[in-house]
Amino acid sequence: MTASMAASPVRTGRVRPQRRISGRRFAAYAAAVLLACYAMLPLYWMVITAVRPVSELLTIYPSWFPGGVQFDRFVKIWQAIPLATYMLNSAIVVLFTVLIGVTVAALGGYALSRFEFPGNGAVLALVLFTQTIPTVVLLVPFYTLLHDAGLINTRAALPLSYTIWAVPYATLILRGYFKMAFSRDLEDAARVDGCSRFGVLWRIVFPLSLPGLMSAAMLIAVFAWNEFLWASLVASQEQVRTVSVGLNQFVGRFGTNENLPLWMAGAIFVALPPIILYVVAQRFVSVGYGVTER
Amino acid sequence: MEVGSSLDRSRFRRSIRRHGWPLLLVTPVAVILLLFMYAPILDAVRLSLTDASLLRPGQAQAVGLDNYLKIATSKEFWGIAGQTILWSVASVAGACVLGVLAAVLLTTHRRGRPLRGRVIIGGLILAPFVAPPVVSAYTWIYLYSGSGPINGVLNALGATEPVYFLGDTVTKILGVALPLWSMIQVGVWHGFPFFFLMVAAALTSIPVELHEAAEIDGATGWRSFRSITLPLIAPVLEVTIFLELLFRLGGLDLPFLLTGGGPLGLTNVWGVFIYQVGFARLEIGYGAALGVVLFLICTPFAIWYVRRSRRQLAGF
Repeated sequence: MTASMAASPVRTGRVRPQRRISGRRFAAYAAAVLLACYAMLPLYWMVITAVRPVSELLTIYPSWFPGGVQFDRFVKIWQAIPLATYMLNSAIVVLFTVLIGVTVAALGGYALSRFEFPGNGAVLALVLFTQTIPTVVLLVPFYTLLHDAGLINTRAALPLSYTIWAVPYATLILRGYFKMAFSRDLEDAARVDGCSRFGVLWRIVFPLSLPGLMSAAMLIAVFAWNEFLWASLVASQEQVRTVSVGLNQFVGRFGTNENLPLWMAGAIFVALPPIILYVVAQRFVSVGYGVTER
Repeated sequence: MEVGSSLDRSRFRRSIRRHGWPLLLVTPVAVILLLFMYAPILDAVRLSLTDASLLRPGQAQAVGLDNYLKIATSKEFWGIAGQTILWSVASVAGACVLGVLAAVLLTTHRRGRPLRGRVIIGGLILAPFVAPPVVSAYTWIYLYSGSGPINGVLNALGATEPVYFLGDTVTKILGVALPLWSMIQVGVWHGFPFFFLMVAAALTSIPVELHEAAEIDGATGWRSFRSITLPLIAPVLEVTIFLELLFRLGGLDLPFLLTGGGPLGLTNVWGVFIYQVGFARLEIGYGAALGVVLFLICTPFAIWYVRRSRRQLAGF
């Protein structure tokens, strides 16, 4: 590649200015890497604490590089707390939240992106305004609502509340995506060919919008997996407890230095699913954020 | 009058026939939001006018505006309000600067060549955004602790006394207690990936030629950023700052897990305070009133946001 570039006389003329820039390019690299290190600092510390020998933790000022590596914590943590149960509970919450949330948001987002109908602007305002309601304002009334409905500490409590919180944002993302990704012409053509209105949605719009749907699903999934405070209020009992709450209780029960590696091992297992999701499907994230403003 | 209403009715029927499909599609969203977002807020207003308590369920007495008077005259509350504003503004400002920097570094094309490895670096930068708050909060507590690694570095640099980042009740920097600064630092760390995401998404839509043209004209670095990049990302930045500010004002996971409001209430913020009042002291009525006040403060900004977004989103 470079050889062919150098062979062309036009290209060689460009070599000098490029060298001049390479110093700045290096600075840009250094700054970017530094920012990445800052972002990763706690995760790095989590990993080295999870593997280092306990003796290193009993000294003041533990070193930044572990003196040895032990993996038994990654097994022991599953016996120390019912982590598998917590994981399963969280997975169930995520599954239902994503399914209901994305469905509701996709239908609404589609209607708002395509049709001029009475109340169109009002619904959009309703959705936009919800985005700006501080979550904590809903804490008390929502708790009394779930309490009166007898839903505290049931499996329904978390998916229900998370869906409600996630729907406005997901609706905006999908609305933007439907508008941007393809034009109405395709749908109109399908209608002319005798496809039903639902058929248009199911066979054309949704399949073509998979990146957008995926993006909304990811945002909802990570939110539902990570959320802590609300879960600690409405799903504190062991049979419905989610990973964040379980991990938090573990700190309270075994918060000593000897148990730190164990806790960090658990934290790694809890942090891993969202991180893997983002690494694998990172390109979908910017899809979602890129279109909310369109 | 009669004629008018029957006309209205037939018009209504016709409109249903014409617009039935989109109305049907939008019903779930509208119903969910009205029933479970807007109705609870009205319920919060109702609760805030009572002395409802989780200790005596079903025995709430109407107390008028007592809860609001209690807020207005509470010294504790005004301190918390100030800390909330500082926590929100400072952590969002820091996150904004770092996020924009990261986005510019990773998306700016120099002579058509983006930074190699930008996908990996970008992925690593997303970590704070993705990691569960429970995990990041406790890891920061450990990093900050008196015998922790940060103090280890300070000690190696010659500090004789350990710094208690989250527990020091004496040290003040610029008149603000050290634990609040430490919490703000975690807020910056947690928030900057979101700015990075939003700004990077906006920046990738800027044509490369624009920067190249500017470079030929001699505009590089800061000037190119000021005159080309910043105007182009300004709308996205505006919305992101707004959403993040609201998220900080109303959010409580991180402050709750990091300090729970302590030491001596020096890091207490509005969200945590509502939690304490409502679910630790069990004074649901007072907690609801605190929520309503926060909601009222946010409303003008929310209206601005809705108007602005609708203007931008208008048109098909």
